[in-house]
Amino acid sequence: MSYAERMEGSFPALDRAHTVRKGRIVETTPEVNREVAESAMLLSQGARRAIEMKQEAQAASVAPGTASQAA
Amino acid sequence: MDAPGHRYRDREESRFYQARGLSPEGTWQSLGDELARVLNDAQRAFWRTRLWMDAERVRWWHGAIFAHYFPHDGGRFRHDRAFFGVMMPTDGMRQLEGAAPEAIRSELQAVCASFNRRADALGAQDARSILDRARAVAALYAGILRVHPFVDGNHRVSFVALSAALWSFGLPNVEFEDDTETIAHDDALVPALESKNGSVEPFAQLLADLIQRSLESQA
Repeated sequence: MSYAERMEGSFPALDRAHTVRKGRIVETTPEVNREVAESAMLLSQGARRAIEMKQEAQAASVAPGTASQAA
Repeated sequence: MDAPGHRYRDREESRFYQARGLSPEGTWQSLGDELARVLNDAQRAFWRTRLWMDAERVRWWHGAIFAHYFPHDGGRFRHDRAFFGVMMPTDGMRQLEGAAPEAIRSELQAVCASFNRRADALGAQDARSILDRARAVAALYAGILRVHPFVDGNHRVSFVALSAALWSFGLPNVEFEDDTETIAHDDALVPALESKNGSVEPFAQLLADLIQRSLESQA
């Protein structure tokens, strides 16, 4: 019996590599791995700091539009 | 997610804050590209294929992510003591110390050998649950983080090990992306980081739950 066969367990066998994203399972492509890498980069900062960074980035991306609206 | 990396930069005190000739944001982006490339390689190499772990593989992955932009740090074990902060679920930030520099290789080797034994045992059993496999993956991931073999980039290299191990066991990789998941990730890891004998069960349960729920939603 091959290693892959021995690793089949009590869950549906996947025929290709997948990734759990936002509660759903998606096939792993280079694009998915790039986005997962980005999440891992953020996670490496620590969860609280990662959340702050995302909030700061969001605020920065909103601010220019707000400014032009005000003008 | 928006175009990755354009908005972020690492901590200024990080070794990997700014590469020569790049802005901090460009450095972040480029290291994200390198990490994705290493994940692609791990996926190709280890999907439903036996993953043999050893300290050299961890060192090699670190070099593959960082050495192109940081040749003096990528793939090099640290020579000084290292402390890293963890947020305790109840009483704020606490500083933990990684393995003593002279013990890094042996402690990392012990983590890897333990993973190899667990993988062998999983291969020999008839019934293997997702949680059984998640325990082996969690012990590897938390073990590398606890030893903290590098000055910086320990989490990123540990994440490659986690991804390769999950794929090796025929499981999906797991992204921790939204705020709830990232906090759950950090909280579940704390017991395993506090000591060599700390429990990996909370993190293994988290991994198994995320995988189980995603597989059920697919069915």
